[in-house]
Amino acid sequence: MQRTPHPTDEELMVQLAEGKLDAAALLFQRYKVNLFNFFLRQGIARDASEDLVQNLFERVIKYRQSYRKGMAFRAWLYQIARNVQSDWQRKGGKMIQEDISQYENRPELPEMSLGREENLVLMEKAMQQLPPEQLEILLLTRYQKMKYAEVGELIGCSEGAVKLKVFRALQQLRSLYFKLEQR
Amino acid sequence: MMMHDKTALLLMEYLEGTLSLEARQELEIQLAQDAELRKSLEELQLVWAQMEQLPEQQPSAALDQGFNDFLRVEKSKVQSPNWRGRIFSFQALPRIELQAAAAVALVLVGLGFGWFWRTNQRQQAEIMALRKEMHSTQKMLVLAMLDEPSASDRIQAVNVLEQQKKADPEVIKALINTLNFDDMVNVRMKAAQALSTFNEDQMARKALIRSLSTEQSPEVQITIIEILVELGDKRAVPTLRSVSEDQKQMDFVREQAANGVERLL
Repeated sequence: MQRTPHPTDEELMVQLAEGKLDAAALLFQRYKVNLFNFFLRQGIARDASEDLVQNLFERVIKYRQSYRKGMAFRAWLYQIARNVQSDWQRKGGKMIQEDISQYENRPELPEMSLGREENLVLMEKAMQQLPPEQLEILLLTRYQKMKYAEVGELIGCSEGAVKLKVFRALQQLRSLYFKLEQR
Repeated sequence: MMMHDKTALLLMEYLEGTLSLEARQELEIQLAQDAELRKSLEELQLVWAQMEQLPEQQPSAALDQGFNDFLRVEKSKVQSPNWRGRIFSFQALPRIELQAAAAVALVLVGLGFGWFWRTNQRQQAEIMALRKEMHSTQKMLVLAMLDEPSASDRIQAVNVLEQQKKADPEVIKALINTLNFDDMVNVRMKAAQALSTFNEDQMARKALIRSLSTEQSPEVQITIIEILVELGDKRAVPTLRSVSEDQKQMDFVREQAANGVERLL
């Protein structure tokens, strides 16, 4: 059963906008891991990914009054995430290229069979070779579990167009993945 | 070869499992005739599933620390505007006479010994208010964790709530809700144990007795029976008796309930 969080993100955000700062703590707990992985999977180092999450929530709190009742919270949040990331890149922040070291010493991996572990490493490699906008759309829809309509609101296109973009990104990922597998 | 948009959307919905039965049958006919399309779909399914398997990584504790520090500072700003803010609001007084009067008053007060004393008092009050607020934030966070999708998070929340020294009605209510409505057996068991630590609380006791009559899982039933017997609460007898006589219950649950009745009487 999928639980609907209570209070909803939007209710919390309204409270935050009204000056009840505790609501931010709850939103932070809900989204910190997702956002951390959102940055990490784009090839940003761990430390920098954490800094970006921190920076993002500082903006959520500082600019809380810019949130309007009725706005989809996740679309608003990921808009800030994109802004934070592009500011960071503008200031010289660099992605790590295929940093396999970040997969070492992970608690989850030793329990897996070797074949599966290798496949997952290949998958992460393939994902990092995707063009940024294709990677982003996959991250938003597959991992951040955003609805197509929400992503549409974020990137400025229709729900159907988002679905098609996801499919094209998936096709691209498939070809990158199988190319790596054949090596 | 670039796939036609219509086929692409169809495959996308197939992968997501949102395709209608009719459309699926239509696609399956197409797949049976087209080996290349079939291969594409198989590979896409593999990639789709593989993506789901990628483990999520956890940020370090430094992130929580950084956020909490920032939040604390922001909260103190909201609660006590700084001295500059106060002076600027003083300048906003409407008339020059009022400003002058206020300036004199301010100088007098500023010179007075009492001013320091009051400031100190106010700061103390602010610190107390902040502490109280931090406590309520923590409680709110833990209570919200009971709604997390992950069962281990929910168990962790119950563990934290169990440590509370005083029975807080809000906490008891949340634990009762978890005991009655959580999907996972181990979370419900943990909630029952947590409620038993607040055995002085009537609401907690009543909830344990009541949930015994509705609980379906034998593991949780046994846990509750053990708790009730341990607490020696005779009010549990009618419920225990009806469980022991209920033919729909598992044999060992009925036996345990019957034993419980004997020990309580």
